[in-house]
Parts: sequence; structure tokens; C-alpha cells
Amino acid sequence: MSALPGVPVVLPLAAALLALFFPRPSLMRRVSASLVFLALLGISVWLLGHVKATGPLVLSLGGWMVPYGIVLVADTLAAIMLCLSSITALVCTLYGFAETPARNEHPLRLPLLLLLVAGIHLTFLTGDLFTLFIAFEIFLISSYALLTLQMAASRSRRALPYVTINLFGSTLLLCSCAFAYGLFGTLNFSEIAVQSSAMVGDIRLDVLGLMFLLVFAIKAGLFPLYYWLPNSYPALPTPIAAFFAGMLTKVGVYVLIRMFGTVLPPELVWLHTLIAWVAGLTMVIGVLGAVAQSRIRSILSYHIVSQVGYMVLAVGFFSPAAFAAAIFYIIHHIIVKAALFLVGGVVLRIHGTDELDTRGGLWAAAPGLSIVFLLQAFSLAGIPPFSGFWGKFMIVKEGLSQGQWALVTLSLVASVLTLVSMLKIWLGAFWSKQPEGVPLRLTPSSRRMTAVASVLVAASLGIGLGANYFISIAEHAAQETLDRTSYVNSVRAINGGLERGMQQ
Amino acid sequence: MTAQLDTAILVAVMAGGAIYLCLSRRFLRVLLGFLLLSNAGNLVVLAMSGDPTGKRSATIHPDSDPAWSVDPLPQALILTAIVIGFSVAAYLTVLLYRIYVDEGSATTTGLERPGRSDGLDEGLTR
Repeated sequence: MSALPGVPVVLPLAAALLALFFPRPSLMRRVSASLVFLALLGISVWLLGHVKATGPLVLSLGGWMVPYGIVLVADTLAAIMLCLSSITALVCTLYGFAETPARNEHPLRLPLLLLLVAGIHLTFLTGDLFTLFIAFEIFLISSYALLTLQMAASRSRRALPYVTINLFGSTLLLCSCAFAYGLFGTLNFSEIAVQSSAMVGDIRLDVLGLMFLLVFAIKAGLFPLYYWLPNSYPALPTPIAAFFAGMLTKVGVYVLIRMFGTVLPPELVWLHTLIAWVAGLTMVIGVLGAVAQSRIRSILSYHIVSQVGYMVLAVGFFSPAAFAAAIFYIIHHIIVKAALFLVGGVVLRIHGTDELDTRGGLWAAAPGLSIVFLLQAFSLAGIPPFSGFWGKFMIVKEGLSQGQWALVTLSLVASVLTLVSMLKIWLGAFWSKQPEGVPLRLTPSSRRMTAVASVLVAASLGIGLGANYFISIAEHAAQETLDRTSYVNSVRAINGGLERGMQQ
Repeated sequence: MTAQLDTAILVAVMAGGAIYLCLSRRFLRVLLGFLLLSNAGNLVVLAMSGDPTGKRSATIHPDSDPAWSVDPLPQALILTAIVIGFSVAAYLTVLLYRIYVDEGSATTTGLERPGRSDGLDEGLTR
């Protein structure tokens, strides 16, 4: 029971190692991997329900007292992220099975995906800074490997910007860890929270905050550090691209919420303003990039940049309502983005290219796929009653109540441009006529792929129609994240249990 | 802490040189730049042990006085960071070699020939 926060990390890690012992891709291996992701989803949902009812679960690894040992903390926000990552991983894996026959599957894809999930889950659960660094490295190294695993010769150069900027970011994160240790004498989040509150006004705290912002802005793809993202994502195989698009930048957003909400004191107001303006520029620049593209996956990649801007804008507004909006937006965005990448993959499979200018005719040939795309496109653009509308509505409402007219205007402009670029995909790939003599490759496999993608569409529709419930979860998570005292208390509370254990 | 000015200067020189090398067009220099950068980062971590002058390594011994031993935690951190840096350097080496083989060029300018396929269409993957 108390070891439960460790399970979402240990389970995929063990499965990844086990999968290496059975290198031959087979049905058995595929079923086992799906079951692992399904189990992860089950555990995460149960964890979310439990944590929401009874407060954060804390696990001390090795039984050390709190400021000395490594702790895993599962609070509501972490549990939400675990659920999202599990469901995205499950659907993307199933999509991969529908796309590639077992004999063509690369033997390392599943182990690396499991390792990636383990690293991401450790990022969500960790309660100290250095474990955060290690978790980042675990999932970054897995993502490097996945990026280049089946890359054709003509696109291997696309991996270079992703790898180099992340290497730079990792070194910066390591230095930030070192500075935090030098400043506070501890790496534990809860102890840093206590010590940093006492240091408000110290310029060193501001510099540390700025370094964290820089590091996680690289990971989240914020302006002006986003250029690696639209360059590398379109080159990935579809299921991997969908998982990356859904999760990886959002890990950066999660850590921003965690660092600025829980770990660093709320008095760093100038940093929050900086975050909000950087986010505002990210939204507009990202969507302008999207409008200029003519490939589905490139447009969608630029949309990630723009959408991350929305979430981070809400983080920059820095209030419980704004954090709730950011968390709800993350819930909405991960599902929708992964679904859109999967749809883009089906279009790529049917057309052989995702170039919009030369192909078309999918509305007539594949109405199911078209409806799936249309639903998600409306959701991304923020048309009611889809999930994107509620996220944007919450952010705009909070922005107006804080009097941030300029930023709200930027977000509305970005929203309209998002719709324009989604219309571009719609007109190019679905609505326009297919040129003569170019066959559409509609196969049972492409129909299976559509079916898998529609699972995520159903989830996103559920989020949009049941928005009330999801907003209440997001509000709970936001309050918990911003309540630094109770975070510290719940982490320190395990010391009592450990002492009792020693006396017995 | 004040006596660690020499470490700070060393880190600054290493990081500066590393960034100069990383911004180069040649792959080999980029690789060396990142190796240097990760070592600069490791030195920053090591410096957080505090001023080592007159201190001994931390040992678990009843006679050892904590006041006279260095902080052992950064040394544990740096070991982890070295291992991670090493594995990432290995990956970067292979990636740069792979790009060299694929593109026939070991500079970034060679990657920007106009009028070539961007390789994003299906069918080129296999």
C-alpha cells in the first residue's frame, strides 16, 4: 500500500528489461506490453481516486529520513499526469500494432517505449531535484534512441537539433541542481520549499528561478527555444510521434508547474510575469509557423509549440484558478494532440505523403477518418462544447479578471489562427478532390488505425462533455500544488512512520 | 566558498570553450564541445562540496570529525552525472557518425543542400 507510488516506475522498468530477454517481436510480446500499459492505467486511475480522497502518498526509498533520502510523492497532479501518460502510451502502442505487422517491428521499440514511460513517470513522482535530473535523463536517452531507431538515411540529420539542445538543457539542469544544493544544502523539494521561503528577496533565489525557467523552457519548447521541435517530430514513426507530441513537452510544463507552484516561493512575481509574456509570444509564433506549413505533421508540430504557450500562460497568471486552467488544458491537450498525430499518420498511410497541396479526397473515401479529424480539430481550435473550449475559456476568464488585456488578445488571435491552419488541413487532405490516377491506399490496416485513434477521440469528447468533473479534479490538483505547507507536512509526516518502524 | 575562485574561473573557461566548440560547423568540434560542457557541469557539482582546503574525504569512522571532512553528497551526485554524461556522449558520437555516413558530410553546412528531399514521405522510411 505505502509502496504504491513506486509501482508506476518499477512496472514499466521491469517490463522493459524483461522485453529485452525476448527480442523477437511476437504476438505474445505485444499482448504483454499492452497488458502492462493497461495495468499502469488501472493503477494510475486508482491512485488518482485514492490521492484525491486521502491526500498525497509518500514513499521513502530505502527508508531514509526525509531530508536525506529519496522520496516519491504521488499527489493529485502527479496522479493525473500518470493517467494521461498511461492512456497515451497504451493507445499509441496499439496503433503501432495496427500499423506494423509483427515481423516488421523493430525489436527495440517496445523496450525503449517502456523505458521512456518509466522515466516520464519518475519525473512526475519524484520529490527531489536530483532524481528529477535522473528521470529526465532516462526518458531523454530513451527518446533519443526512439528518434533514430528506424530513421531513414535522408532524415537522420533531423535528430541533431533535438539531441544537442537537450544535451545543453541537461547540463544546465545539472548545474541548477548543484546551485540549489549549494544554496539550500538539500535537494528535497519540500525542504527547498521551506528554505526558499526564508530567502525571499535574495538575488540568488531569483537567479536560480531563472535557470529553472530556462531549463524547462527548453524541455517544453517555449519561444525562443522551440526550433528543435517542429524539426524533429515530423520525422518520427507515427505512434512514437504521437506519444512524443502528447507527453514530452507536457513533462516540461508539469515541471514548471511543480517548480514554480510548489518548490519556489510565490513571491517571485517578476518571473511569473516573464513566464506569461514568453508564453504569449510562444502562442503566436507557434501558430504563425503552423499557418506557413504545408505538411500535416509539420502543422501539428507547430501547434504543439503554440498550445504549450496556452498552458504556460496560465502558469504565468499564477493563481489557483489559473493553475486549474493549466492542468485542465494539459488533460485536454495530451489526448487531442496524440489523436491528431495518429490521424495524420493514417492520412500519411493512405496518401503515401502528408503534403497538403498535391492530394485530397479523403472526405469521400474515408468519412470515418474525416469525422475523427474534424472532432479533434474543433477541439484543438477551442469550439464549444469540445474540451479545448473549456480550457481556453478558463484561461481567458482568469486573464481578464487579472486585467491582462494584451495577453488575452494574443491568445484569442492565436486561437483564430489555429482554426485557420486546421481548416487548411481539412481543405487540403479531406475536402479537395483527389487528383486523377493517384490511388488511395485504403487497407484493413488503415481502418484498424482509424479505430484505435477514435479511442482517444472518445476520451476527448468525454473530457469536453464531462468538463465539470474534470475541472473539479483540476481545481483540486491546483489547490494542492499551490498549498506548499501541506505538501511539506505530508512529506515530513513519513518521518514519524519511519521512527516507529525503527523502534519496533 | 570564497577560496573557490579558481574553480569558478576554470568552469567559466571550460564552459566558454565548450560553447565556442559547440557552435562550430564541424561535427568533431561539436562532439568535443559537448564533452567539455558536461565536464564543466560536473565541476560545478563538485564545487558544491565546499572549499576542500585542509579537509579529508568523508569516512564513516567513530573518530572522524564531520567538521574536517568534505561534504560527500556532491561526490555521489557527480558519479551519477559522469555516468549519464558518458552514455550520452557515446550516443552523440554514434549519431554524428551516422549523419556523416548518411549525408557524406561532416559539417552542418553540408546538410543544407537545396532541392533535396526532406524525407518525410511514407516509403522512404524503409
